[in-house]
Amino acid sequence: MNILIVEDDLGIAQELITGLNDNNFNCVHATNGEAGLEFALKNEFQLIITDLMLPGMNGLEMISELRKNKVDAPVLILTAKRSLDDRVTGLQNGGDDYLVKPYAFVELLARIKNLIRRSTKEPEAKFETLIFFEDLTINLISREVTREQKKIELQAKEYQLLEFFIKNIRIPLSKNQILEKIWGYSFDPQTNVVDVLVYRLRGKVDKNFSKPYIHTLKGIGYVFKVE
Amino acid sequence: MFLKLNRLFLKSLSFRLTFGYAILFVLSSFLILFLNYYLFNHSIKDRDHEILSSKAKEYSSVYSKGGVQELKNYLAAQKQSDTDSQFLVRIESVNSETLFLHIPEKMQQLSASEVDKKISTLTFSKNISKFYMSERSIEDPEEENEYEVVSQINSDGQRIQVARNTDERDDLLERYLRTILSASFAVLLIGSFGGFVFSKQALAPLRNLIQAIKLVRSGELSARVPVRNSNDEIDEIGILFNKMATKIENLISNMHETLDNVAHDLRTPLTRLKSKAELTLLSQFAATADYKEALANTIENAAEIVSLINTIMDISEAEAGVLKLDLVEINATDVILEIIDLYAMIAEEKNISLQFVESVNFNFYADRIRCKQVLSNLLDNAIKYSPKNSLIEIISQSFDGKNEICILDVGIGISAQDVPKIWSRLYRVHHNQSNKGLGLGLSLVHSICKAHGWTIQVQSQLGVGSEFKLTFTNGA
Repeated sequence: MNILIVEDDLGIAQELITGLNDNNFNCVHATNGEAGLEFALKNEFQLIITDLMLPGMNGLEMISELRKNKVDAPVLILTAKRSLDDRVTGLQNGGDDYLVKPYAFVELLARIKNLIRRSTKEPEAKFETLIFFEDLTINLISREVTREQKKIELQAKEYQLLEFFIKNIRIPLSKNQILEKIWGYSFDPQTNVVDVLVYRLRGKVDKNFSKPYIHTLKGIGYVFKVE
Repeated sequence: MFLKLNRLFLKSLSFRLTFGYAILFVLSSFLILFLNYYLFNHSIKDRDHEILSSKAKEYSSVYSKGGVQELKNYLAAQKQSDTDSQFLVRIESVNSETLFLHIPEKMQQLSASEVDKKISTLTFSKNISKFYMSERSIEDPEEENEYEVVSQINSDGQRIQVARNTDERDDLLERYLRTILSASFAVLLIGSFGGFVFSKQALAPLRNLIQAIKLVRSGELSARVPVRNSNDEIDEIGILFNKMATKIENLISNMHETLDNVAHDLRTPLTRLKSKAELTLLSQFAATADYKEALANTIENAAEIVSLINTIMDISEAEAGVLKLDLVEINATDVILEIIDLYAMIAEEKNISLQFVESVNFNFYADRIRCKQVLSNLLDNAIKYSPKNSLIEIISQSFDGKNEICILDVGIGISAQDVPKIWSRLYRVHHNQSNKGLGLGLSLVHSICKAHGWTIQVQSQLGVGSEFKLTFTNGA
C-alpha cells in the first residue's frame, strides 16, 4: 500500500510517516503542491493525504488538478482549518475525507483504512454469524455472548461496544471513535459517558474471568486484545 | 500627500457646489434683469410712439382747421413749452410734395433741406420709421443722432409726420442698463459668496466624518461624529457611523477579553502537562511505565487545550455574528431523545431519572451539532449539580405562541446575584474538583442561542433547583 503525503511541516510529516510505516504502509513525501501533483501523476497511490495550506500551489488547487487529470485515488484532507465552510469546500473540490489537526492517530488510521477499503471495493468483512476470540463467543444474529461457556447478559449499548471491539481486535480505538460509533456523535460533548460504558462492559465481560481483554491506553483510548 | 489631495478634493467638491450654485443664481438673476431691461425698452419705445402719434393727431386737426398758417401759429405758441419744442413736423401732399416743415427753435442748426430729404425717402412700417442725422454740435460734429418718425394720413390723403430724436430715451436706457450691470455684478458677488458659505456649511458634517474616521483608523476607537438631529441623509450617515464605530469598539474589546481568557485558560492544562513531563524526566526512579504515563498525560492535556481553543473560538465567532450555521430542520423530540440517550448512563450512575415530557412536538431550524451542544451542556450541568436519586425533567412545550424546551432540576441552584453572571466566560459557581469541564459551557450555550436568534433564560433558587428555558423564535 502506497500513500502520498503532501505536507510542508517536516515535523508533522515525519511523525505521520513513522506511524504509517509501523502499520505497513509505504510513504512518499512531498513538501508542496506542485511536487505532490507531479508525484501523483507519475506514480500510483492507494491514498493521498494532503494539507490545505501549502506554499505555492495550495491543497485545494492540487486536488482539483489531480481530478482534472483523472487521478481518482482517495484523498484525505488533513488540515488545521476547521470551519464548516472549509470542510464543505474541501469535499466539494474532490476531497474524500476531512480531518482537523490536531488529530488522534488512531482515528486517522481508521479513516485511512476505511478510504482504501472503499476505493478498492473490498467486500465488507464476510458476513459471519459467530465470532470466536479466545474463550469468548459472540453470536452476531442473536446477540448472545458467552465467555468460558458462561452466558453474559448485556444491555444494548454494552453489546454494541463489544461488537465494535471484536471487529477491531488489537486496533486502538479512541473515545471519540466509540462515541461516534455507539451514539452517533461527531463532536465531543465533554462527558465521560464512554468511560462509564467501558467500565460497565468490563464489569460483565472481563471482571470475573481469567484474562482481561479490554485495556485502557492512557491518552489514546481503549484496545481489545490479549495481553 | 494624501492629506493634500484630500483637502483638494474637498475644495473641489466645495468649489463645484459653489460654482454650480453661483452660476444658477447668477444666470437666473441676469435673465430676470435683462428681461426687465428688454421689456422696459420696449415699453418706453411704445410710449414714445404713442406720444408722437397723439402729437400727429393734434397737429393734423389744427391743420385741418386753418391750414399751414394756423399750424405755424399754433407751433409758435407752443415753443415755450419744453415738451413740444422737440418735435419736427412735416406735412406731405398726396403727390409727395412737402407742404409744411417745422423745425423747432432748439434744433435750428439742422439743415431743413436735409431733414426734408430724409423724411421724404422713409418707408413706414406700422406708421413708424426712423432716420439718422448729425446735429452738427460743436463738441462732436460727426456724431449722428437717431430720430423717430410717426406718419399719419388725414382725411384729405395728406401725410402728417412728427419726428423726435431719441436722445432722452437713449440716455434713460443707458442709465438703466448701467444700473442693471451694477446690480448684476452685485448678484455675482453675492451668488459666489453665498454659494461658497452655503456649500462649506453643507460639507462641514462630511469633514467631521472624515476626521472621525481618521481618528478611528489611528486607533482612537472612541471617536464619534456629532449628530444634529436634522433627520437628513448627512445625519443618517453620522448616526450609522457612530453605531458602526461602537460595534468595532465592542468587537475589539471582546477580542481583547477573549485573548486574555484564552491565555488564562490555557495555563492550567499547560502547567499540568509541563510539570508532569519535567518531573518524570527529573525522577531518578522513572521506569518505562512512568514515561508512558507522562506521555499519556501530555496527550490528555493537549486534547483539553485544543478543546478549549475550539470552544473559545466558537464563542467569539458566535458573538461577533460570524459563526457559520448549517441550518437544517430538526425535530425537537428526536434531538431531545438523542441527548437523553447520551446521558442516560451517566445519570444512572447517580441514580438520577431523566424524564422527557412531550407537551408538544415541534420542528425548528438549527445547526444540528450546535443545537446538540446546547442541549448537552444544559443536561450535563443538570446532572452534575443534581443530588443522587433525584429527577430531571426535559420538557418540550409551547407558550404564548412560541416553542420552548425546558430543563428542570432539583440541584444546588444558583444564587440571585450569580444568575446574571453565569453566561459570562469562566464562570462557575461551585469550584468542584471532581467535576470535569470548564466554566465556558454556558457561555457557549448563550452564544449559540444568540447566533440562532433564540432566547435562553434561567430561573433558580439556591438549594432548591434550577430551570433553564430555551425559547425558539417563531418559525425557527
